[in-house]
Formats: sequence, structure tokens, C-alpha cells
Amino acid sequence: MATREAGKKMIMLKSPDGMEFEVEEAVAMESQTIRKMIEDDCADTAILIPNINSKILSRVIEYCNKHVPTTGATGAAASDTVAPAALAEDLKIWDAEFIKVNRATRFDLIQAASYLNIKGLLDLTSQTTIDTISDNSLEEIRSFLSTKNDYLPEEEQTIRRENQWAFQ
Amino acid sequence: MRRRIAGKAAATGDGGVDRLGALPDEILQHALSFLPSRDAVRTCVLARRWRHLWKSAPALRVTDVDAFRSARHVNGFVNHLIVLRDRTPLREREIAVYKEYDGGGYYDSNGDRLEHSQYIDLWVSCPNLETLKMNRCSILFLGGDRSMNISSQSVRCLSITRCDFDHFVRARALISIPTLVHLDLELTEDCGLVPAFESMMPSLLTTSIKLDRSCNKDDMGCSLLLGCLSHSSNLDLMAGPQAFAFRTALKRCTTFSKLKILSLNEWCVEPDFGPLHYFLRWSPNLEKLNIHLSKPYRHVEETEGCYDSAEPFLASKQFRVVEIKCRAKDKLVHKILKVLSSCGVPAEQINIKKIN
Repeated sequence: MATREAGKKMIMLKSPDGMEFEVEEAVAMESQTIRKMIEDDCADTAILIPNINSKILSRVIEYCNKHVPTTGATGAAASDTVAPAALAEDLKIWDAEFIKVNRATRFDLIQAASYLNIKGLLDLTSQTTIDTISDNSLEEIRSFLSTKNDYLPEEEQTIRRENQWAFQ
Repeated sequence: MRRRIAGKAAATGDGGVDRLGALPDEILQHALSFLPSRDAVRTCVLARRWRHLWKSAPALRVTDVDAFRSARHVNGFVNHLIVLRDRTPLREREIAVYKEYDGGGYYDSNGDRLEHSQYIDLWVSCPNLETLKMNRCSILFLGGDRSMNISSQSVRCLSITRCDFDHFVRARALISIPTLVHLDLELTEDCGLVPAFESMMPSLLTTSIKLDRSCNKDDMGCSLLLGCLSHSSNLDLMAGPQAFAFRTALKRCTTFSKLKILSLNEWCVEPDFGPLHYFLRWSPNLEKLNIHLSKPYRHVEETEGCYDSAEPFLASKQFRVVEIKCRAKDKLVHKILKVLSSCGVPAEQINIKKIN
């Protein structure tokens, strides 16, 4: 599968809805899951990414493209003169823009980051979700997470009593 | 959970499907690790699935301490948390201490005894700890030899702000974390002696140091500190006016070979722009210099701006930009420009921004 373009090894990623994405191997390897497939030589043709539709996959690739380390053989775009700290600051701003998506997309991204094992993206999506819910009441959080309260009322009371030290 | 002001109610779920619930436990635990620990524990009442999840969150964050009723409640909370959480190794830990510390005594406003030191044994048994943040903590010297070591082989991000290194004892804490990447150290009045960093920190990228003027008394501590930062690529060094503290360090001629972005405040102009000269001279790869002048400088008339340098030198060839933030009509700026120009920094690379 590995085609060559300007000396870089390319990988084909396929979403279940039939879209194909050609990405640099280094970019794809931002995902520990894909990295393992490549290292174990399980990636002979295109890699099918189950459960992640093309819309989300393209966003994930966008994220990986931005976050792939620019040093070493694969990097070329970033100038060597940019201090790492300055780069980190730029990335933060970029991340903040990137994550301005609706809730459904964010959950999709969490799921994708979790399946593909991309730590940075998982941190970003989790942190953003937590920031959104941390000031809300329990009912609002349940509603936000679409979680149904399956406790019996007396059960909930018991659990509250058990963990009273966190509720006072 | 804290009650939030009504109005911005969260939107309803996506067709009743439990989206987060479909994720594996470890992802939810990871997400919980971003919450202050008390909020994380409180998710136990969300639903059965959430009952025990908080126990395995790989972070301990006691940051919202002022929302607790008293120091006793904070202590009670932390003690319960430590005992009841499972043995999931911690990745991050943030601790702050209740504000009602009256300086001399050990009692808060309710007359409860503050149990300052009990969290200290949390250092041990965390081989994977990456982030350690302490705000307003009292770090006590315990034991007969009165030594205080903070050591780790895994911490990458260390933040110690407004802490007290046991200022009654006058002993120096020793910090030994060779893996450090980000360091944030803010020392305020009566913080005790400036802690010493034992090992070189070759991975250090960003460092932010804020010193109160009381640190001037600890010349040796400040000098040792500066010497340890020579690997930084991004350095913020803010000190009270007349920071004599670094004078000894500045005689040592340590080269800041990796330094690319440097931020300084007023202290860099005294004496005779010595500190400013020092960094221009010993930072051969400096790209960006920020100077923040927020306070009026008393000795502006006396300072010549022509540092008596034994030999002239040129600043880094990599220089791209100098940004000076100052109040309107700050006479000091003119003198700083003179210094910069004497080291060959072209005027077009200098931006001056006025602040109020």
C-alpha cells in the first residue's frame, strides 16, 4: 500500500462509509493503535478504521497533521528557528479553535481518540467536556451526558451518605 | 456538584442515547481526572455505572479548597479520598491549602487545628506522577536532620506557588527532579529559603520564576537557582525591584545556550542595566526578548544606560524581536533602547507597547 510522495511513506486510511484518506505514515502513527498495526505489519493494504465516519476521521487526521512532531526526518514544514515553547503556545490556540464543535461531534471525537489511542486528542476532548459540565447541577450533567439515573431513590440516599465526606 | 446560576441549562441529550456511557471505564476515569477531586467523587450519584469510577481517576486535585467550609473539612476530604480511592497510580496531583491560615498559629477561623503536613507522605508511592502543583502549601521540615527533599524520576511539570518552605527553620529544601520539562516557581514574602535544585535538568523547556523582594536576603539560593536554569529555552524571570539576589549569579557567566525566549521585568536595569547586558551577552541563541515595565523606576535619572562592559559584544544573531511593555512616558525605555542598540539590536526589531 505504501506509495511514495516526495520521499515520505504514505498510508491509506478507510472509513466505514467508503472514504479513503492518504496520510503520511508519521501522521497516522500519532495514533498508537495504528502505530501498533504498522509495526506488527498488519497494514499491508489500506487500514479500515471501524466506527469512525469520514467526517470525524478527517477531523482526527487534521488534528494529527497539526500535532505530528516536526523534528526528525519527516518534519519539514516548521522552521527550525521556532522555539518549542512558542510552538506549544500556537498549538494551544489551534487546539482551542479545533475543539469549537458541537457536543455530538465532541463525543464522536472522544470515541475516536479513545479507539485510535491518541493521547493528546483524548486529553483535549475530555478536558473540554469536563469544563462544560463542572459547573452544572447533577440533573444538568445527567442530561448533558444523556445518562439515565438508574438508582432507586433510597439507593441514591445511601450512596450519598456513604460519601458524605465529599458532599459537605 | 456546585449549583450553577440558572439560565444556561445544558442542552438535552442526543435522542436519549448515553453517548459517554458507551465509552470504556478507563476513558471515563481519564475524563474524571480533569475534575477537582471533590466533583469527581460526587459523580458517584449520577448512575450505577458511575458509582465507583472516581476511585480509579488517575489524578488528585484538591484545588477548590476555598469552597470547603473549613480547613477541617478539607483535611477530612483528603484523608477520605486517600483511604477510599483504589491503588490506581496517580499521574497528576494538585494541592492547595485552605486560606484561613493566620500566619503564626495553627488554627483556622473555626478554631480547628490545621493539619498541614499530613499530605507530605503523598510524595512516595507515585512512580508515574507527571504533574505536581502545590499552591499555598506549607512544606514542613520533619525529622531530626531537618531535611526536606522533593524528588521524583517521573515528574515533568512542577508548579510551586505561594508556598512556605518552613520559614521558621531556615533550612533549604532540596528538589531533585531530573525529568522536569516545565517549572513554575512563585515565592512570596516569608516563604523561607529559596529551594535548591539538586540535579541538572536537561529536558527543561519553560521556566517561570517570580520572586518577591524578600528573596533578596537569600542571595545564595537565588544564585543557585539561576545556575540550574541554563537549559531552559523559554525563561520568565520576574523579581521585585532591586533584586540584588541574582548579583552573585550574574558574576558566574553561565551561558544560556538554549534560551530562545526571555521575559524580564524592572529588575533587569539595576545596577546599570547589568542583568539585561548579562542575558544579551550570554544567550547566544536568543530570539525574543520581552521586557515588562509596570512600575515606575525610582532611580531612572541616576542610571546612565552605558554599562561599563569590559569588552563590547553583539547580541545573538538569531534575534527577531524585542517587545517592551511600559507605561506612557517611561524614561527608562529610552535608556533600554540605548543598551540594545549598543549590542547591535536593530531598532526595527523593537516594538514598544504602552500599558495603563
